[in-house]
Amino acid sequence: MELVEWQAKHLLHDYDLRLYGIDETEKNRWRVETDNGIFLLEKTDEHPTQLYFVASWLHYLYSQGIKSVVPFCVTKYGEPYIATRYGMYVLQPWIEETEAIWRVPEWETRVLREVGRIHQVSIRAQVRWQGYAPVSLEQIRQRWESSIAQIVLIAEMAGQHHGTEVFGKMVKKNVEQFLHFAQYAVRELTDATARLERRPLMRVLCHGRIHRRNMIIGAGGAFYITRFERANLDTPVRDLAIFFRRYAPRCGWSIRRGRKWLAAYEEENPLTEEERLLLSCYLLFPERLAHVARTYWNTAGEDRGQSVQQWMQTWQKHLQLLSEMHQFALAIKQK
Amino acid sequence: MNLQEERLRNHLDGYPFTIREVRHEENGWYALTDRGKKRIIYCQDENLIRWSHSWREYLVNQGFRHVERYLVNGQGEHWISDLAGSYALSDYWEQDYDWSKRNELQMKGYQTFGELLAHIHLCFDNVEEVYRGRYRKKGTLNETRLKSSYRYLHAIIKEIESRQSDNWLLYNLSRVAERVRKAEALYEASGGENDRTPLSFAHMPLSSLVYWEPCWYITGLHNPVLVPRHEDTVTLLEQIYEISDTEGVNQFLSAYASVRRIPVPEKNYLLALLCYPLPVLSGLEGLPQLSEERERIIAGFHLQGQREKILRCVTEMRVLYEEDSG
Repeated sequence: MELVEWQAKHLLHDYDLRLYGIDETEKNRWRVETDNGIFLLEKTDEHPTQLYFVASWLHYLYSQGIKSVVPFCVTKYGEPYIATRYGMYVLQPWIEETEAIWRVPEWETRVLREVGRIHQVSIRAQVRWQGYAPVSLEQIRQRWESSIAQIVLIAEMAGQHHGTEVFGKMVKKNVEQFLHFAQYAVRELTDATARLERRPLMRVLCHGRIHRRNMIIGAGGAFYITRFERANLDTPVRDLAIFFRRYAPRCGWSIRRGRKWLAAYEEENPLTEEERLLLSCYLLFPERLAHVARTYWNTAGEDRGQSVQQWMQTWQKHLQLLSEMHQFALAIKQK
Repeated sequence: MNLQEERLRNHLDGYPFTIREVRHEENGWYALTDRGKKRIIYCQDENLIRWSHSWREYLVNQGFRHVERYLVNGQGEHWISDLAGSYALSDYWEQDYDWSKRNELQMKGYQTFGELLAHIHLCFDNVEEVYRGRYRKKGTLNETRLKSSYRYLHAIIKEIESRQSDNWLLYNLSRVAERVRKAEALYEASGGENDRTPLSFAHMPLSSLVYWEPCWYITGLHNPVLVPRHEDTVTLLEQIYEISDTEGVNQFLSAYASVRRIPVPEKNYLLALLCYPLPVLSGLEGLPQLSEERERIIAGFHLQGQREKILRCVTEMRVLYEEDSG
C-alpha cells in the first residue's frame, strides 16, 4: 500500500518528528526527511510479538557494543513500533550507503566475523524474548523429503507431457544425480538427529536472511546488518548455512575459502563439534536446486515463460557444482 | 522560580528532551521543550491518572492512535507520583470548536465520537474495581434527588394554586411531575442505586474531538469528574442536537451501536437521565418569585423539549440495545 504524506505525517508525530519530505525507495520502505534527521520508515507484516522480539534484541545488542545493528526508534509513548489499522510500522535512522558491500575486499570474512560477534553476545543475554520458534531437525528433514518428492514429480510430469516444459525436461534428465546427493543428505541428517537427541543445541539470535542486500557500508566504512524482522533464536548453524549456500557457489565451493570464512566466524564464536556436524549436514543437501524447483512449481503455468531461462541456468550451474558442494560439506566437519 | 515550578522541573528532568521553560498559563501548566510545547497534567489522585491512562491506551490498542496520551520518561513510566500527587506530560491539541460548524465534517465527527465513546465505555466493561476516589460523584440521578424533586414540585404547585395565576405553568408542572415519576421508574429498573454502575465522564465537550487533516484526535479530558455512565452520552447528544437536530443524534447513536450494545440496566439509566426534567427544575431553582425570570423558566421547558426529542431517537434506535426490551 502506498503511504501518502498525510499518513507519514501522523506516524512521525508519534516520534515527535515533523515531515519535510518522503520518498518510496522500494515497496513498503520510505526514506523520510524530518526536522530531526533522515529516517527509514517501513511497513511490515510481522506479528507484534515478533516485532517486540526484534526490537528488544536490537536494543540489547546495540547496548552491548554491537554497532552494526540499527535499533528501532521508540515513540514518545515507549513503543518500538506503531500498530495502526493499516499495518505495522517501524522507524530507524537512515543509513546512507557509500559503497556496495561486494566491492569491499574480503567482505565475506567481515560479515561472518560480525555475525559471530552477534551470536556470541546473544548467548550472554539474561533475558530471552520470545519470537519465531527455532526450526527443528525433524522439520528440516520433512522439508527436504518434500523437495525431493516435488522434483521427482516435476521429472515424471515432464515425461508424460512430452516436453512442452523445457525446465521439466532438464530436471528429468538429471533427477538421478540430484537424488543421489539429496538422499545422502537426508540419511546424514537422520543420523545426526539421533546423535544430537540428548544434547540440546545452543540457541543464538539468528538473522535468518544473511544476504548482502541486507548489509550496508555507511559513512567512514561503517558496516551495518539490516532487516532483522525474521530473526529467531536458533542454532548458529542456521545463519552459517544460509550464507554458505548463497556465496560458496560463487567461488566454486572452494574448501580453502570456506575454511577461511568459517575461521573468521569462529574468531568470535567457536563452533562445537555437534554444530560442525550439523553444518555439514545442512550443506550436503542441494538446497539451491530444491529452491529453483520450488519456485518453478509455485509459479502458474502461464507465468513461467519469463523466468524459465533463468531457472534453467540456475539449475545447470548448481548441478555442475554438486560434487564440489558435497566435498565442501564433508571437509567443513573438520576444524 | 516558585515551589510549584521547581517541583515540576525536578520531575520533568526524567523525560528524554530538554526543558527550556515551565510556565503557567490560563489553561494550566506547560513545558516548553526542544520537542515542542507539552501539557503538564497534575492530579492529586494517582488512581484517576491510572483510570485516564487506561482508556487512552485501550483506544490505541483498538487501532485508534489519535488520542492525547501520556509520554514516557527515561524509566518508561507514563507518570510520576510524589506525596503531593501525580504528574504526567502529554502532546496536546487545542480544543477544536470549528469542525462542528463545518457542514462537510459534522456527520463524520458525530460518527467518530459515537465510536470513540462506545470504545471508552467498552474499556471499562470488564473492569472489576470501580474508581472510588475524590473525583467520583453521585451523578444527576439518585433516590434522594428524585424524592426531593417531588417535594419541590409539590411546594411550587401549592404556591401557584394559592396565587391563582400562572395557570400555564401549573399545567406544565403537572407534566413535569409525570416525567419525574417516569424517570424514577426507569432509575429503579436500572439498579442505579446499587453503586456498581461503571463510571464515565460527567461532561464531555464536543470540542474534545479535534480535526487535523484528515485525522480525528481526542484531546483533553483530564482530571474529569466521574459519575455513573451515560451522563457523557447525554451531554454529547444535547450538544449535537443543538447543531444538527435529530439527524446528528442518529448518526452518533448508530456509530455507538456499531461498536457496543447497551445492556438493559444501562439503557434504563440513559432513558431516566433524558426523561428527568433537569433543565426545568434547574430553571425553577432558587427563584424567590416565580413571576420573575419567566424567560428562564421557558428556556428550561424548551431545553427539556429538546431532550424529549433526543429521548425519542434513543428509544427508537433498537440496534443500540442488547435486548429489545420495548
